[in-house]
Formats: sequence, C-alpha cells, structure tokens
Amino acid sequence: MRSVHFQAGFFVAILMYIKYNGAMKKFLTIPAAFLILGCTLSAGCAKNYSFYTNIPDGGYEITDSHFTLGGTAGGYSATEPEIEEIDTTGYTSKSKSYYSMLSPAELVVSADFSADGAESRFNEFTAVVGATLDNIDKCLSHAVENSDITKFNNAQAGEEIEIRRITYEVLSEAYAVYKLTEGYYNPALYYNVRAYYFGDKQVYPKRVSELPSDKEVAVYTDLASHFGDIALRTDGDKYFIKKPDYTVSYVNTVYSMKLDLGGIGKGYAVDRVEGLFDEYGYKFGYFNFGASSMLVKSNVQSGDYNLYFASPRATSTESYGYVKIKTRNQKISTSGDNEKYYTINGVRYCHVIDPTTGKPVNKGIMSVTIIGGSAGSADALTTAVMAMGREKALQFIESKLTDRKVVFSCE
Amino acid sequence: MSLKKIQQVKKDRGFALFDLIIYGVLIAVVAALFVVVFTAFNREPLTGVRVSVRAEAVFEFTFGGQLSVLSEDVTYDEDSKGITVTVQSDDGFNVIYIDKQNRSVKMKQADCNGRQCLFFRAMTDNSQFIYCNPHAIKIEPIDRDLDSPDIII
Repeated sequence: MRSVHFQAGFFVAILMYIKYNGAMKKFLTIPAAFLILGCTLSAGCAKNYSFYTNIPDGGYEITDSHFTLGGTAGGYSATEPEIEEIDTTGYTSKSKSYYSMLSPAELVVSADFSADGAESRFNEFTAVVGATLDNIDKCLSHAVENSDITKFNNAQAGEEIEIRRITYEVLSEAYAVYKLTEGYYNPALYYNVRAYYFGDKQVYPKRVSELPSDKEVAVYTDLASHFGDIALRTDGDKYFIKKPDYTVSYVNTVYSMKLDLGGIGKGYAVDRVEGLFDEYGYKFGYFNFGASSMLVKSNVQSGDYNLYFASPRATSTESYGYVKIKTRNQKISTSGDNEKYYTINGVRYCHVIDPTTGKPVNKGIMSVTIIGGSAGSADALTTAVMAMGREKALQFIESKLTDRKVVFSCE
Repeated sequence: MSLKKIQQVKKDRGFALFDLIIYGVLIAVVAALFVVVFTAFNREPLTGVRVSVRAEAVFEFTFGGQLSVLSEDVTYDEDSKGITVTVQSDDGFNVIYIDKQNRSVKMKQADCNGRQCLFFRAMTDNSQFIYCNPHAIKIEPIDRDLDSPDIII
C-alpha cells in the first residue's frame, strides 16, 4: 500500500511540473519536489526480490511491489480439482488447536452443527485427529525416547530394527523423494543440522569461530550421502529398516547414520488428517502446521481460500504477504530460510542444509511453496528445491513437478 | 506594472482548466485509496484476544470486559492505554501489547528464532491472528471469524 501512495504522489508531482509555469508554481513546487525526492529515496532504499513459478498467468496475484516475476517454468499440466456445489445454509465453523512434532497445529471445520449428532461427531473427529498426531509423533520424533527414529538413531551400524507402519510409510516416501531429487532432499543430514546449532535447543553462535570446521562438515556430509543404503522391507504385517554399515570418524569418535524426519513428518500428518476429513465427510475447513504444511478444503464463504505467501524478508508489518493464490481441496507445503536462522558477519545461516556442501543453503532461494500432490512429499520437495538454486530448481520443476504448482522466491 | 507582466499574471491565474484537472486527479486518487483501505478490508472489529502456548490457553482479554491469566508463565502490566503481556516459558519470552484505545494487538518483543512473529500485522479485526512458531504461541481473536477465506502461510 505504501508503494501505491508513492506512485500516486509521483504521478501528481509529474503533473505539477508539466504545469510548471502555472499559478500553482508558487505553492506547490516545494511539496512536489519533496514528493519526487521521497519517491526516489523509496525506490533506492527498498530491496527488491524476484519470484518464480510454474503457475500460468492469472493463477496468482502479486501483493507486494517489492517482488517481481523473475521467470517461469513451463510444463504445469495438472487437472484442477472439481468444484462440488453444496448448500451451506446453516453452516458454522469450529476450531481445535494441537501441539505436535514441536509445532502448533490448527483444525477448522465448517458444517451444520445444529444437526442431530453433529456436535458429538465433531468432538469425535477432533479426538481422532489428536490421537493420529500423537501416534505420528511417537513414531517419528527423535525427541521421544522410544520412537522408531530414536531406536534407529541409537542402533549399531548394519543393525536391523522393527518399526511401525507409519514410520515405514514416511521412510518410503522420504526415500522416493531422495531418489527423485538426486539427493537434494536428504533426511540423514542429522549431524550437519546439529553442527550448525539447529538441533533441539537452538542456541545460536555469534562468531565464525564457533561454526564447525570444513573438515567436520565434510565428514558428516559423507555419512549422509549414504542414505540410499538404508534397506526397508516388510514381512507380513511387520516392517523393518536396516541401518547402513557405513560409518565415519571425527576426533576419535565413530559416527553411524542418524535420521531427522522433521522435513517430511508434518506433511505426512497433513495427508493423514485429509483422510480423516474424508472419512467424516467434512468438505469445508482446513488443517495446518503453521506455514510448514497445510490442507485446505473448501471455504464456507467463498469456496476458494486466499493463500497469502508470507514474505521471507519481511522487515515491517506491511510486507508479510507477497503473492496471493486462490485454491481449494489442495495440500500446501512451504520451506524458507526465514524460519530458523542466524546471521554472522552479514552471512545468513538457516536450518535447511545443502546436501552438496553440508552447509546451510546459500544459493539465493529464500522460500519455496508447493501446492498439490501428497503433503508428505511436498514437504520434502520444498527442502530439496531450496537447496538446488534457481537454475536447477527451474529445470527440476519443469521436468519433474508438472503435476504441482510451485512458487519460489529469490534474493 | 507593464502590460507584459499583467498578461503574464492573467495567464498564471489560479484554477485554469489544467489546474482543475490536477485537483480532480488528486481527489480521485485519494478517494480510490480510501475505498481500497476502508471498504475492501472492512471486517468485524476485534472484540478480544486469547493467547495459547502449545495449544493451551494462557491468557484471555475482552475489550471493555474481563481479563484472565490462566498460567503462571504469564504476567502483565496495565494502564489506561493498554496492557503489556509477557509470556515466559522454557523456550524464551514474548511480549504482547494490547492497545485498548485502538482495539489492536501486536507482538512487541520476542527472543525467538527469526522473530517473524514481530512482523505480523497488528490484529484489528476478528479474522486475524499472530503465530510465534518457535515458541508455539498463538494469539487469536476470542470471537474469531473462522469463516474467513484469507490465510497467511
């Protein structure tokens, strides 16, 4: 909105100068000069960013003039979800908050709650969603003592452990995205993440000397590059994972592979909650883990939801949304270098690790949003695209993500 | 006064046609901005807020009504203009300011990673909310407009 004011002011100032010899000269020349100076300073000081997308023209709206379209990727060919007309007379909305996978989550459902049994059905639904989230947490969280991932992380190199079906499904999806992205998504960068202080406590360093050495980073990155060696198998209704034999050593310590499924777990949870929406017949509302991953059904007022993508470089309360997209019946995942980061000597260190360097991503992409497909894979894919850099990301989107809408922003 | 000067003054008289066009354009621009700001975003004014940590309500306030502290982690200072609410947890702190005169709420200070919560627009109606993901804090209207189609992600 500020830029609109400046543009209007600039326009008026120009008109005044065209009329330079008129009577207004005496009264308005000085204010006009200030307006033009203000416009110039505003344009000079404001940092501009670009965004890239494969969404066809008309499918999005830029809502912050600091962002301009830098380029597009072709190939988007997905069929838009069908719109089902439903009479929503008497519909009201209810919400329920959760805390799962170290993140707040929110459920909103719109329905006719005055109908017989509707209230108790909603209560049952929210309880089932809560139990589902708890189950996923118990399987995937490395902060839970007996979770499958904790068991895997504590296992010896080469050891096989039994895991639950949820863990098996998530690991299978993680493995598929690892292969699809040629390793740009890698949940085995566990030690790198922690070496850069993005572990559970997240007390950030203030000096370069506190950062890990290149040698240490290289050792951890080498270990993570063997994620493709994990072996998943089923035996009847039992599920197993075998830890790779490969180990590395650094400062007299031997390290075996450890996993962090934080980059895919919330998306998987969103997929499961979508199944529950369908099971209970709810067609209006949404469920989200903040910006990370969300499901939108239809909106009870307007059908479509208006998604405003938060600016990854917000510096004021006026610049929190830069692109608007209308959508319904979709799942959306977002990763950004603004979620968790610190700055040392002007260099930004964020929680997303580039698997090719083992260091925080630093290729110019600030945030990535993917709409469509499974939320689990989208969750992992956003991390991968962050690490690719602009050119490779565009190629990847154009060739491999033709069934999903992708938006990413660059410095 | 020379004839030339008189002619120049006449030529420079106020409210020439071009001047009126400029005034017209100026009025039109101001009117358009007014319509955009005050009509397009017209929503139900904020009636009160609830602060939750890890999905548990810790503080509630209704403008012109009740104030409830629901957790030992919450302290507040109140004067005639507003209320400063501090939420202290193992993860860190957040300071929320409730402007009683303008019926708005914003995150004033926080020691979370990224401090993105400080950049959320101040809540002024019942469709807005503020998240602090690192500290798992949510500020939402007590009478939240859950039907709103607008979502910030």
